[in-house]
Amino acid sequence: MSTPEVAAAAETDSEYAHKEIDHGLNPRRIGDVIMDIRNITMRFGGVTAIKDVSFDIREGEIRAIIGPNGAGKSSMLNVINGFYHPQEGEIWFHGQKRANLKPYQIAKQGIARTFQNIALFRGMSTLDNIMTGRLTKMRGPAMTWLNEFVARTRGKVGWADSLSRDADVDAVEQAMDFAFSGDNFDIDLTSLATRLITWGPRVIAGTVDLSVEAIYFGHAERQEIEHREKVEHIIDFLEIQAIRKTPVGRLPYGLQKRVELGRALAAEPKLLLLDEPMAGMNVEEKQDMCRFILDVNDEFGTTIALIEHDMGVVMDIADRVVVLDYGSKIGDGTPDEVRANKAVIDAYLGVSHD
Amino acid sequence: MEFLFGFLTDPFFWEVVVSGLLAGVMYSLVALGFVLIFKASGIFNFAQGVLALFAALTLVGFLGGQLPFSHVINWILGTEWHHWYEPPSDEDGAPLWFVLLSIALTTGVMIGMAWVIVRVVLRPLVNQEGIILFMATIGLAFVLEGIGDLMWGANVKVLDVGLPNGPSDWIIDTTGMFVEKLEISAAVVAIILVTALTLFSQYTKMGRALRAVADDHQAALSVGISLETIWWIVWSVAGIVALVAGIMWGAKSGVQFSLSLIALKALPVLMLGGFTSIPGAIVGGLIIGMGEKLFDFYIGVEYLGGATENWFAYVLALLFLLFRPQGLFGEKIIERV
Repeated sequence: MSTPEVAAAAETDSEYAHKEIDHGLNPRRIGDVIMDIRNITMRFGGVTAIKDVSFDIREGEIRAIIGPNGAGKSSMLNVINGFYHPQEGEIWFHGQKRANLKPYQIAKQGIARTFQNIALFRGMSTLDNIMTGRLTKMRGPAMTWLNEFVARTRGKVGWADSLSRDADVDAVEQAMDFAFSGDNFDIDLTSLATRLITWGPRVIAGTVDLSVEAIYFGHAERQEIEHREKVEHIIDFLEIQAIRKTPVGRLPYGLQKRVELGRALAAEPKLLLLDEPMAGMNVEEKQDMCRFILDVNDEFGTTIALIEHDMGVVMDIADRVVVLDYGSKIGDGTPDEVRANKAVIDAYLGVSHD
Repeated sequence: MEFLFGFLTDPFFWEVVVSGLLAGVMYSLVALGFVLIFKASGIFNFAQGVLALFAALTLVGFLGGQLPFSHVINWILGTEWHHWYEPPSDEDGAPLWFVLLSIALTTGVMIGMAWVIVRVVLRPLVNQEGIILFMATIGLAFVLEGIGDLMWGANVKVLDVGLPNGPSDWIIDTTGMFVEKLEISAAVVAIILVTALTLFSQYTKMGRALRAVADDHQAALSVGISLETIWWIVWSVAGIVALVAGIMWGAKSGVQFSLSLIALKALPVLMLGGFTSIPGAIVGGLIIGMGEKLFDFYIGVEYLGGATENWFAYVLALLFLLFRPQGLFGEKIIERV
């Protein structure tokens, strides 16, 4: 990346123009908005956890969400990844307004995350944990064929187009929801037909794949080997080769955090959400984690949104920072801008009442 | 030495061992259904025995062309319908294609039922305590038993799917032992089933997804696993295992409502083998089956007045709970403090 051509190209890029250059050699490229969060309001009973918050996340950047305790940071992350559905507001992902999807559907769209209080599969080994991250990438022969067919015929054959509608929405789930939506008795025949075309082949493909896996063993094995290679790469990257086979329940806290990061990376996410990746770590572990986050962003170009309490860390690694306080956005900008923001200083240091 | 190993040459000893092992296989078939659901959803499914009963009843219904809910229908409409088709038959009972078709239809019913269970019972209870889910399955057991009764009637039914019956002449001739052919086929079926299930849950991506769901719901969702789809698959597989158990037990002792009680015998099997291990369910079943027969034959009849088979398994399970609570093959409980 240090060739003169690349540097010259970067020079002309308007986005790049106001970007800080890290080492002068390795310019990180920040692209268009991939996620636009618009006027989100999230209430739990009488408590409003998030009040009319809007911000965007650009491709390739490290976006930090900071704020005092109870500011609504984790709620925001849960909204982005679908654990919560906000009462008001919209989320636009890749230029499309996102419906109220379930968390696993959002994961399939390419949003991976880690949790504040580690959510690993404690009974499984490090390797198995990271392999689960590949699940969204594993497809049986029938589903692969169907997806290729859809891609090939898209825009050419009318009925094939409706196949690709809601391609990320889990077919069986849709069927279930539809069959049991008791409040809507007038069945619209066109929508019924569209739904049938959309989920019918997917259910069949899924069933075929399941049977193939159960009967013909070679397929499962081949798939396993292929994905294992990617996972081994991540294990090398995170320097956790030595604990490959250890059940994660036995690992120390810092390593568990690293395995969790590995599992999220295995999904090759378009957007990676990290909920306090450095909480409870000592200085050395924090340094390691910082390095990994920067490397992930650098090497894979992964967009990262993270929550962190350690101001020093945030100001060092984030490209832009959103500041929340009592559920409202009080600041948004580069670390320097945020640091100079009066409202932010007041929120963190308190305001004198005289 | 003579006293200790004398029984090894005793043909009675071997007959007891073999019949015990084969009875154990029948227990294992039921225990297997428990393990599958427990592994994948952390739910102890009290309804597994009733599931086996329901599957057997449905199969008998299809084989006999019996009209489901005939009592209700006749009561409402004042008619006298009991059959909706005449089952085909040749000289040795139902033809093979018809038996296979009926089994396929019953499998379909079990899969459909799994979907309804996930939808109506499990989905509203996501993220609830294990004990609440357990109680829900107790309720489910009663509901299913009631529906089974209403659909097919409460009388004892004969289930004949053409499995070989009576003692095996070949084994009597060669070894002098008296072994039921039916129990041998049960053993063969169990071996096939266990091999397939073990491979499935250990080596396929679905197996890994199953283990992930059992471990942590939130984390499973965050890596893109749909809990409901997984549960549906698991309950379907458990339903199919219940069908196999129902066929075997039904062929052995008729399809009757006491069939749901065989689930109780699966409990000590699980305590021995471990709630989370498929091979454990098999080994546990074999140990219990063999243990209770041997104990009854050598000690029970002579010193304890017989009928020790009723309680031996539970005492053995109790001892296991004292010394190895996770069972022989169960996952060791790791707790960081």
